[in-house]
Amino acid sequence: MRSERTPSARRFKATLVFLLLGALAGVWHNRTMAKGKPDVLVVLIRTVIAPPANALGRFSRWCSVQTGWVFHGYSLARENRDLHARVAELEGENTRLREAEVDLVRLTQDIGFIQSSKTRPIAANVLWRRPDPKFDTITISRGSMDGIHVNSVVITRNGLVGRVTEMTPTTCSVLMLTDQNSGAGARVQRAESRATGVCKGDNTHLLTILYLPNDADIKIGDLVVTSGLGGVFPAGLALGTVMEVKEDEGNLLKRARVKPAVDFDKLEEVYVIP
Amino acid sequence: MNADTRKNLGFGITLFIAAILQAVYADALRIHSARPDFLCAAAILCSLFCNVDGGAAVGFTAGLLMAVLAAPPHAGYGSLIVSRVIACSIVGWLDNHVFRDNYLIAVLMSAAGTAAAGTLFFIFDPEIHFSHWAKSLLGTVGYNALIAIPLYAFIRRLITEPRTGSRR
Repeated sequence: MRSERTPSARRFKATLVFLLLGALAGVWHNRTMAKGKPDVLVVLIRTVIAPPANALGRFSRWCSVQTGWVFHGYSLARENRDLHARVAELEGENTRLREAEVDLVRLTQDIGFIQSSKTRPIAANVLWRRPDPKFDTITISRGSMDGIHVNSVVITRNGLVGRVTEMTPTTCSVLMLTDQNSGAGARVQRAESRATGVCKGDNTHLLTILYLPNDADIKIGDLVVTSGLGGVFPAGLALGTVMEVKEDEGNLLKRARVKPAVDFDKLEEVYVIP
Repeated sequence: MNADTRKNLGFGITLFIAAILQAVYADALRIHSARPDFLCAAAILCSLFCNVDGGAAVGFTAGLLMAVLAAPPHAGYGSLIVSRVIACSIVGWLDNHVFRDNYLIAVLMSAAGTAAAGTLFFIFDPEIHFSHWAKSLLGTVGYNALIAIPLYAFIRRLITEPRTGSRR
């Protein structure tokens, strides 16, 4: 009887060992991240996976550009791409100018915005995006060797992308605004409003501005920017445009659904404010 | 090359390729909330050729790779590994109970294993929104059932010894 049981117990012993190793790896990772240090396992695996993934990603994008003419015509595809880039650039410029105008009207200095314009952002390529659908994260091609640290702010020309949550010397992971675990202080940019709340993601394509006072002056079409409150994100970075305003239960607070300024599905290049 | 070495090497290559495909194409191949999980499907299908020990080892490797790629916040890292170890161990444990060398079984196992891994993850890390988790899991299960056939053929080809000698 005993001799029949032993092989079975041995078989499950290996599974238990791997389960224990998995749990320990998780605890080890969380502890290392809490200290702001890179996890050795993460560094090792990313060092092996990042170069071929980057090369394959670039090749795929090149193929996509080269075959675009099949569907749209070569010149049309090129013109469209240039116009998209130009529109994105102008929208970013427009956001900055409007924010500067509001500042002039209010005769106040937005310290965070000045700080953000003074620091020189570091350009980075997106290596991979949302490998697991449960988490809205991206991994970019810059790391601690470039002066990036945990909570460094990641932006595009259009607005805020998110913040760095973990890093290796050559790569770092960014928790995007759309993830349910992310949050940023938000403010309506319109000079007559300046209502503030907290911008949260819920793993959908929209963001939610929570904790807006019931008397907050917020309308559909208003541009929402970061407020600078909370200390992680500088003020004045575009978050998105208000699509819908609702009153919470009890009519004490309002919430707004916001279409993000950044197209999180098409991120290829980002800038990191170290 | 000895059969065990060939098998282990084949599993390693499969998981490495699956990790790269997961990183580069998982989000690009999204249809609404449905995304493929190449790593989970590859691990489940590799476990079809293993016993319970092998399944646990494959699940651990796949879970670790996914955790490193996804960089989940909070407790997601360990939960990803543990959920895949259990799912792949169960598939490995079927070794003596079910005839598994069959394309239909591969499709069913890929779908059921993905669902099991996703459900276990939700149990270990319930902070995630239920509706988002349910929608994405349902999509991933469907996607993984679709990719199971080519993936199974690839793994089978990779780990099976090529036949040598003439028919005569």
